[in-house]
Amino acid sequence: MALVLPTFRFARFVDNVTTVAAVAQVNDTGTQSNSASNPHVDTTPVTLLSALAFDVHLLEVAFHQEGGTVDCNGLVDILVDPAGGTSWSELISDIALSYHPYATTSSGLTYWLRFPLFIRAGTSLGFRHRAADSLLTIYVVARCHGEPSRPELWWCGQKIETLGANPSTSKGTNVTPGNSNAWGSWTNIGASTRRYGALALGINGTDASTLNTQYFFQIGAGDVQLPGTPQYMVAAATASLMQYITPAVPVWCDEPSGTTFQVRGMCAGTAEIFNFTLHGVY
Amino acid sequence: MGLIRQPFRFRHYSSNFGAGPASYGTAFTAGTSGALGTAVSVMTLTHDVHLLTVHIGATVAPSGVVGTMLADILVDPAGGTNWSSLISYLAAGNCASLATGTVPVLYTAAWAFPLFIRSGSALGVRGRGGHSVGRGQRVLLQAWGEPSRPDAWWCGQRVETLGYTSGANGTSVTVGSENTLGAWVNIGTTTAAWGAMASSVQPTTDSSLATGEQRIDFGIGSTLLSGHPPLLVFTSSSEDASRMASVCPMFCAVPAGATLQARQFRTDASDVPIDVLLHGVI
Repeated sequence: MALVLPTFRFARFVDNVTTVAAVAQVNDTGTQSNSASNPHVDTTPVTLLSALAFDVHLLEVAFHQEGGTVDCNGLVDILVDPAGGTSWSELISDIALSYHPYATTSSGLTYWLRFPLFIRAGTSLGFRHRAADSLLTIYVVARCHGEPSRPELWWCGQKIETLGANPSTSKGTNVTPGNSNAWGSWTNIGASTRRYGALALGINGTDASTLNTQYFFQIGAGDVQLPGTPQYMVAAATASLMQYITPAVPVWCDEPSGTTFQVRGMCAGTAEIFNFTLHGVY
Repeated sequence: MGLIRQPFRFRHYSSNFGAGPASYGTAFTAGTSGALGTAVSVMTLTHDVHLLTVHIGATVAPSGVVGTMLADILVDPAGGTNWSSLISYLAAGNCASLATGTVPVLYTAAWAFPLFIRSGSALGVRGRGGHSVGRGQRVLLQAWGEPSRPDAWWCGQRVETLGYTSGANGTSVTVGSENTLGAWVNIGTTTAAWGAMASSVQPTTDSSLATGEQRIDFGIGSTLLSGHPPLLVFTSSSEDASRMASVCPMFCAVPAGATLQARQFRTDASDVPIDVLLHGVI
């Protein structure tokens, strides 16, 4: 049964889409990256939001890009500068992304990651990325919620640990889903060094083309799905596009330091290899 | 500042993703010309639920056909023989789902409700379409329950919907001129205090959508609702309307007797009136 509690709300909200006078145009919703000059090399940082006007307790990020005939996989760092945007450091490292189409292709933005995370007012947020192909540019949407009316009702952490990233390939850790509606094997993504209070999953593909089929993915430990964690879905198409059903809420958890996190997948047809990064809030 | 507290998690998660990713979710057929379709059972809960997310999609409306559709999420505490409406009039018109051609289009309308539903209850769905032909829809429900710290999660017990007019329509929001804000439009007056709010939008009556993007703001007393993000809508000439909403539960503190409003901002010369309905968790 639910307890009878006073209501709770965030008093403040800001994003990098609607703070401008006009709604961003469909194809460029969010902030565009600089192009990379070479594969697997970090781009120059770009500011997402300058000098936050309030303390943030929930950060939502979404990514989109144009699919194509090149290897569209990459890793994104969300950056922070407490002093206002001149000296960046990594807040969230190496989030995997892939063929997430522009918002105009009938789906809106479908690739979201949500982090219950404290970020101090006055801090600037930025990002940079590295990609498997130098032609890749991406767009990042950042939404910040802050100043909860009842702080004791909202768990949030202060740092994020990333597992599974391979910066030399601009991808995460290989997972091979099972074919024809069968689950594949659990694959280790990495072992935590902190106690996590929330999780987010980064997803990317493998190469410059995708097969037209659908996938389920789950997060686990000890060859069992973590209780309370949701299932993810990816629909892929031969046009090198992928769309997602990601959890609508932060994936809160309470996993001890030393936990080896795993991912497994299921494909409706013949599976391709996917890559994963896992981001633990502590 | 974030308080130092014990982590929080939901112990249980369930969904109707189904046995395989090629046929995810549950199919239902909306009624025609504003009439209710047949109720379809979606899932029976095996744990208490404290958070419910809803995704709805459909094949896109053929050109020349009004694409409006309102869905009710149904509940039967006894297992699925005597339905009553749990959440009414979720607007999911002109949503695309399932793979269409080379673009993998998933559900484009989604909502999150921090809502208590007792274990053993059956959940169902039914819909009413504005078109003359009953078009197939799909619904995906994801349910999280049994929070590890019940004192850290606010949830309500029922949902009030404002803005329904007739047939398969909500309250049409006045369209502003290009690059200007439209006038505030009253959506309805609450009869109880709301602790969370979700919004529904769909193109009002248009049977031949123009390509464009719009922002919907929410307010009270012709003032923006603080802390509440706007919603972006992207329409296309292929008759789909994708939403960029922050699906994460939008906790709020709206008192009983408050008249909630919406207004529209658009950047295109094309005129796409938008239905707005608001769903408040009580």
